[in-house]
Amino acid sequence: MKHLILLFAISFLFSAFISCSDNASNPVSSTEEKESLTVDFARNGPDQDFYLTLVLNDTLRFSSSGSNNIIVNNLADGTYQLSFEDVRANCSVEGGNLSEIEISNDEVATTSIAIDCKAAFIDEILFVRTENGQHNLYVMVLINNSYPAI
Amino acid sequence: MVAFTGKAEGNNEIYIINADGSNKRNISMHPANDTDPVWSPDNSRIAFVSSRDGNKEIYIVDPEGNGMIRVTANPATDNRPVWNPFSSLIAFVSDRNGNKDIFVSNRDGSQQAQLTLNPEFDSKPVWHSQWRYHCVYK
Repeated sequence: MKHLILLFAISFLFSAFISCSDNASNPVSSTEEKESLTVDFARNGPDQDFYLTLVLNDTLRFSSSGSNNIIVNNLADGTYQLSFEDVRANCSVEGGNLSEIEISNDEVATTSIAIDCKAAFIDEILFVRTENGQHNLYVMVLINNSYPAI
Repeated sequence: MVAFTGKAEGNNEIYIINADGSNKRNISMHPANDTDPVWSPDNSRIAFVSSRDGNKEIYIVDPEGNGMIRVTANPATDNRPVWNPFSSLIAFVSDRNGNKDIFVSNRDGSQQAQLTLNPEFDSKPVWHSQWRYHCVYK
Protein backbone atom coordinates (compact mmCIF):
# COMPACT_ATOMS: atom_id res chain seq x y z
CA MET A 1 0.00 0.00 0.00
CA LYS A 2 2.85 2.37 0.92
CA HIS A 3 4.44 1.81 -2.47
CA LEU A 4 1.16 2.50 -4.21
CA ILE A 5 0.74 5.83 -2.44
CA LEU A 6 4.36 6.80 -3.23
CA LEU A 7 3.87 5.91 -6.89
CA PHE A 8 0.70 7.97 -7.02
CA ALA A 9 2.45 10.97 -5.46
CA ILE A 10 5.34 10.78 -7.93
CA SER A 11 2.93 10.52 -10.85
CA PHE A 12 1.02 13.54 -9.61
CA LEU A 13 4.18 15.65 -9.29
CA PHE A 14 5.38 14.61 -12.72
CA SER A 15 2.07 15.49 -14.37
CA ALA A 16 2.07 18.87 -12.60
CA PHE A 17 5.56 19.57 -13.95
CA ILE A 18 4.48 18.73 -17.50
CA SER A 19 1.45 20.96 -17.11
CA CYS A 20 3.58 23.91 -15.95
CA SER A 21 5.99 23.44 -18.85
CA ASP A 22 3.13 23.55 -21.31
CA ASN A 23 1.87 26.81 -19.87
CA ALA A 24 5.27 28.42 -20.20
CA SER A 25 5.56 27.59 -23.89
CA ASN A 26 2.01 28.70 -24.72
CA PRO A 27 1.56 32.28 -23.59
CA VAL A 28 -2.17 32.36 -24.26
CA SER A 29 -4.16 29.36 -23.27
CA SER A 30 -6.77 28.41 -25.81
CA THR A 31 -8.03 25.41 -27.65
CA GLU A 32 -6.99 27.03 -30.98
CA GLU A 33 -3.48 28.36 -30.39
CA LYS A 34 -2.35 28.62 -33.94
CA GLU A 35 -2.36 32.27 -34.92
CA SER A 36 0.76 34.33 -35.42
CA LEU A 37 1.37 38.03 -35.04
CA THR A 38 4.21 39.87 -36.72
CA VAL A 39 5.00 43.40 -35.57
CA ASP A 40 7.26 45.25 -38.01
CA PHE A 41 9.18 48.29 -36.83
CA ALA A 42 9.95 51.34 -38.90
CA ARG A 43 12.53 53.38 -37.07
CA ASN A 44 12.80 57.04 -37.98
CA GLY A 45 15.11 59.81 -36.90
CA PRO A 46 18.75 60.35 -36.11
CA ASP A 47 18.91 58.49 -32.85
CA GLN A 48 17.06 55.24 -33.22
CA ASP A 49 15.88 52.87 -30.58
CA PHE A 50 16.71 49.27 -31.45
CA TYR A 51 15.61 47.56 -28.25
CA LEU A 52 11.93 47.51 -27.45
CA THR A 53 9.61 45.24 -25.56
CA LEU A 54 6.26 44.43 -27.10
CA VAL A 55 3.53 44.03 -24.50
CA LEU A 56 0.32 42.19 -25.37
CA ASN A 57 -2.69 42.76 -23.18
CA ASP A 58 -0.48 44.16 -20.42
CA THR A 59 0.81 40.70 -19.58
CA LEU A 60 2.87 39.09 -22.36
CA ARG A 61 6.27 40.57 -23.13
CA PHE A 62 8.50 39.97 -26.15
CA SER A 63 11.83 41.67 -26.77
CA SER A 64 12.80 42.98 -30.21
CA SER A 65 16.43 42.14 -29.42
CA GLY A 66 17.48 44.78 -31.89
CA SER A 67 15.72 43.23 -34.90
CA ASN A 68 13.19 44.90 -37.17
CA ASN A 69 10.26 42.80 -36.11
CA ILE A 70 8.82 40.65 -33.39
CA ILE A 71 6.97 37.45 -34.25
CA VAL A 72 4.62 35.96 -31.71
CA ASN A 73 3.26 32.47 -32.33
CA ASN A 74 0.55 30.38 -30.73
CA LEU A 75 -1.87 33.18 -30.10
CA ALA A 76 -5.52 32.52 -29.55
CA ASP A 77 -8.13 34.29 -31.66
CA GLY A 78 -9.18 37.60 -30.26
CA THR A 79 -8.43 41.27 -29.94
CA TYR A 80 -5.04 42.19 -28.52
CA GLN A 81 -3.81 45.46 -27.11
CA LEU A 82 -0.29 46.29 -28.21
CA SER A 83 2.00 48.63 -26.33
CA PHE A 84 5.74 49.02 -25.95
CA GLU A 85 8.02 49.21 -22.96
CA ASP A 86 11.60 50.42 -22.85
CA VAL A 87 10.98 53.14 -25.42
CA ARG A 88 13.84 55.51 -24.81
CA ALA A 89 13.30 59.05 -23.67
CA ASN A 90 14.16 60.53 -27.06
CA CYS A 91 11.80 58.22 -28.96
CA SER A 92 8.04 57.87 -29.22
CA VAL A 93 5.59 55.51 -30.82
CA GLU A 94 3.85 57.19 -33.73
CA GLY A 95 0.13 57.43 -33.15
CA GLY A 96 0.50 56.69 -29.45
CA ASN A 97 1.84 53.79 -27.49
CA LEU A 98 -1.32 51.72 -27.45
CA SER A 99 -3.08 50.07 -30.35
CA GLU A 100 -5.33 47.12 -30.98
CA ILE A 101 -5.18 44.29 -33.43
CA GLU A 102 -7.69 41.58 -34.06
CA ILE A 103 -6.46 38.10 -34.83
CA SER A 104 -8.90 35.65 -36.36
CA ASN A 105 -8.89 32.11 -37.65
CA ASP A 106 -5.85 30.87 -39.54
CA GLU A 107 -4.51 34.35 -40.05
CA VAL A 108 -0.93 35.52 -39.94
CA ALA A 109 -1.57 39.01 -38.62
CA THR A 110 0.94 41.72 -39.38
CA THR A 111 1.06 45.25 -38.09
CA SER A 112 3.59 48.01 -38.59
CA ILE A 113 4.69 50.35 -35.86
CA ALA A 114 6.73 53.50 -36.44
CA ILE A 115 9.17 54.56 -33.75
CA ASP A 116 10.19 58.19 -34.14
CA CYS A 117 13.42 59.20 -32.48
CA LYS A 118 15.13 62.52 -32.25
CA ALA A 119 18.41 63.73 -30.92
CA ALA A 120 18.17 64.60 -27.28
CA PHE A 121 19.00 68.06 -26.06
CA ILE A 122 21.29 67.80 -23.11
CA ASP A 123 21.86 70.48 -20.52
CA GLU A 124 24.79 69.85 -18.24
CA ILE A 125 25.20 72.02 -15.20
CA LEU A 126 28.41 71.65 -13.29
CA PHE A 127 28.44 72.81 -9.71
CA VAL A 128 30.40 72.56 -6.51
CA ARG A 129 28.98 70.65 -3.58
CA THR A 130 30.59 71.24 -0.21
CA GLU A 131 30.50 67.99 1.73
CA ASN A 132 32.08 67.75 5.17
CA GLY A 133 34.14 70.81 4.41
CA GLN A 134 35.39 69.38 1.13
CA HIS A 135 34.53 70.87 -2.27
CA ASN A 136 33.47 68.28 -4.82
CA LEU A 137 32.57 68.86 -8.45
CA TYR A 138 29.26 67.48 -9.66
CA VAL A 139 27.45 67.56 -12.97
CA MET A 140 23.73 67.21 -13.40
CA VAL A 141 22.30 66.22 -16.76
CA LEU A 142 18.90 67.44 -17.88
CA ILE A 143 17.35 65.84 -20.96
CA ASN A 144 15.07 67.83 -23.25
CA ASN A 145 14.49 70.60 -20.72
CA SER A 146 13.12 68.17 -18.19
CA TYR A 147 13.24 70.54 -15.26
CA PRO A 148 11.30 69.59 -12.19
CA ALA A 149 8.63 72.16 -11.44
CA ILE A 150 8.44 73.72 -8.03
CA MET B 1 32.47 95.21 -24.42
CA VAL B 2 33.28 94.24 -20.87
CA ALA B 3 30.95 94.23 -17.88
CA PHE B 4 32.39 94.58 -14.41
CA THR B 5 31.62 95.67 -10.85
CA GLY B 6 33.08 99.00 -9.84
CA LYS B 7 32.93 101.39 -6.89
CA ALA B 8 33.62 104.62 -8.73
CA GLU B 9 30.47 106.19 -7.32
CA GLY B 10 30.85 104.96 -3.75
CA ASN B 11 28.93 101.71 -3.91
CA ASN B 12 29.13 98.63 -6.07
CA GLU B 13 27.64 99.25 -9.50
CA ILE B 14 27.63 97.40 -12.82
CA TYR B 15 29.65 99.12 -15.51
CA ILE B 16 30.05 98.48 -19.21
CA ILE B 17 33.17 99.54 -21.05
CA ASN B 18 34.46 99.08 -24.56
CA ALA B 19 37.37 96.72 -25.04
CA ASP B 20 39.64 99.73 -25.71
CA GLY B 21 38.67 101.32 -22.39
CA SER B 22 36.35 103.92 -23.86
CA ASN B 23 32.71 104.70 -23.17
CA LYS B 24 32.47 103.50 -19.60
CA ARG B 25 28.93 103.76 -18.25
CA ASN B 26 27.00 102.75 -15.17
CA ILE B 27 24.06 100.52 -16.15
CA SER B 28 22.74 99.60 -12.70
CA MET B 29 22.44 103.05 -11.13
CA HIS B 30 21.29 102.27 -7.63
CA PRO B 31 22.58 103.11 -4.14
CA ALA B 32 22.36 99.43 -3.12
CA ASN B 33 25.13 97.01 -4.03
CA ASP B 34 25.01 95.61 -7.57
CA THR B 35 27.56 92.89 -8.33
CA ASP B 36 28.47 89.79 -10.34
CA PRO B 37 27.53 90.83 -13.91
CA VAL B 38 27.26 88.00 -16.45
CA TRP B 39 26.71 88.56 -20.17
CA SER B 40 24.07 86.49 -21.89
CA PRO B 41 25.62 84.42 -24.70
CA ASP B 42 23.65 86.41 -27.29
CA ASN B 43 25.14 89.62 -25.79
CA SER B 44 21.70 91.17 -25.44
CA ARG B 45 21.41 91.15 -21.65
CA ILE B 46 23.46 91.20 -18.46
CA ALA B 47 22.39 89.29 -15.40
CA PHE B 48 23.63 90.58 -12.06
CA VAL B 49 23.00 90.43 -8.34
CA SER B 50 21.48 93.37 -6.52
CA SER B 51 20.42 94.10 -2.94
CA ARG B 52 18.15 96.96 -3.97
CA ASP B 53 15.08 95.20 -2.65
CA GLY B 54 16.57 94.35 0.73
CA ASN B 55 18.44 91.15 -0.02
CA LYS B 56 20.41 89.65 -2.87
CA GLU B 57 18.26 88.98 -5.93
CA ILE B 58 18.95 88.27 -9.61
CA TYR B 59 18.23 91.06 -12.10
CA ILE B 60 18.61 91.39 -15.85
CA VAL B 61 19.26 94.56 -17.82
CA ASP B 62 20.30 95.37 -21.36
CA PRO B 63 23.76 96.86 -22.10
CA GLU B 64 22.31 100.36 -22.15
CA GLY B 65 20.84 100.00 -18.68
CA ASN B 66 17.27 99.66 -19.96
CA GLY B 67 14.62 96.97 -19.60
CA MET B 68 15.48 96.01 -16.02
CA ILE B 69 13.79 92.75 -14.95
CA ARG B 70 13.80 91.24 -11.49
CA VAL B 71 14.22 87.50 -12.00
CA THR B 72 14.01 86.35 -8.38
CA ALA B 73 11.82 87.69 -5.60
CA ASN B 74 12.52 85.85 -2.41
CA PRO B 75 13.49 86.76 1.16
CA ALA B 76 16.44 84.35 0.88
CA THR B 77 19.71 85.05 -0.93
CA ASP B 78 19.72 84.43 -4.70
CA ASN B 79 23.05 84.88 -6.46
CA ARG B 80 25.65 83.34 -8.82
CA PRO B 81 23.59 83.68 -12.03
CA VAL B 82 24.70 81.77 -15.13
CA TRP B 83 23.02 81.70 -18.54
CA ASN B 84 22.17 78.72 -20.64
CA PRO B 85 23.76 78.84 -24.12
CA PHE B 86 20.52 80.09 -25.69
CA SER B 87 20.18 83.02 -23.29
CA SER B 88 16.70 81.86 -22.38
CA LEU B 89 17.31 80.40 -18.91
CA ILE B 90 19.30 81.35 -15.85
CA ALA B 91 20.63 78.98 -13.24
CA PHE B 92 21.46 80.45 -9.87
CA VAL B 93 22.18 79.59 -6.26
CA SER B 94 19.55 80.16 -3.61
CA ASP B 95 19.16 79.24 0.05
CA ARG B 96 15.41 79.78 -0.04
CA ASN B 97 14.77 76.22 1.12
CA GLY B 98 17.20 76.24 4.01
CA ASN B 99 20.58 75.69 2.41
CA LYS B 100 22.31 76.54 -0.84
CA ASP B 101 20.90 74.71 -3.85
CA ILE B 102 20.89 75.22 -7.60
CA PHE B 103 17.75 76.63 -9.20
CA VAL B 104 16.74 77.49 -12.73
CA SER B 105 14.42 80.15 -14.09
CA ASN B 106 13.24 81.54 -17.38
CA ARG B 107 14.94 84.86 -18.01
CA ASP B 108 11.71 86.69 -17.20
CA GLY B 109 11.57 85.04 -13.77
CA SER B 110 8.85 82.55 -14.64
CA GLN B 111 8.87 78.79 -14.15
CA GLN B 112 11.48 78.58 -11.45
CA ALA B 113 12.56 75.07 -10.51
CA GLN B 114 14.90 73.58 -7.94
CA LEU B 115 17.57 71.43 -9.57
CA THR B 116 19.46 70.17 -6.54
CA LEU B 117 17.89 69.07 -3.30
CA ASN B 118 20.62 68.18 -0.89
CA PRO B 119 21.48 69.07 2.71
CA GLU B 120 25.02 69.99 1.57
CA PHE B 121 25.85 73.37 0.01
CA ASP B 122 25.61 73.48 -3.79
CA SER B 123 27.10 76.49 -5.54
CA LYS B 124 29.07 77.88 -8.50
CA PRO B 125 26.99 76.47 -11.37
CA VAL B 126 28.41 76.36 -14.89
CA TRP B 127 26.09 75.62 -17.80
CA HIS B 128 26.88 73.64 -20.91
CA SER B 129 24.40 72.35 -23.51
CA GLN B 130 24.56 70.19 -26.59
CA TRP B 131 22.54 68.02 -28.91
CA ARG B 132 23.38 64.41 -28.26
CA TYR B 133 22.96 61.86 -31.04
CA HIS B 134 23.12 58.76 -28.89
CA CYS B 135 20.22 56.85 -27.48
CA VAL B 136 19.12 58.25 -24.18
CA TYR B 137 17.77 55.92 -21.57
CA LYS B 138 14.87 56.79 -19.37
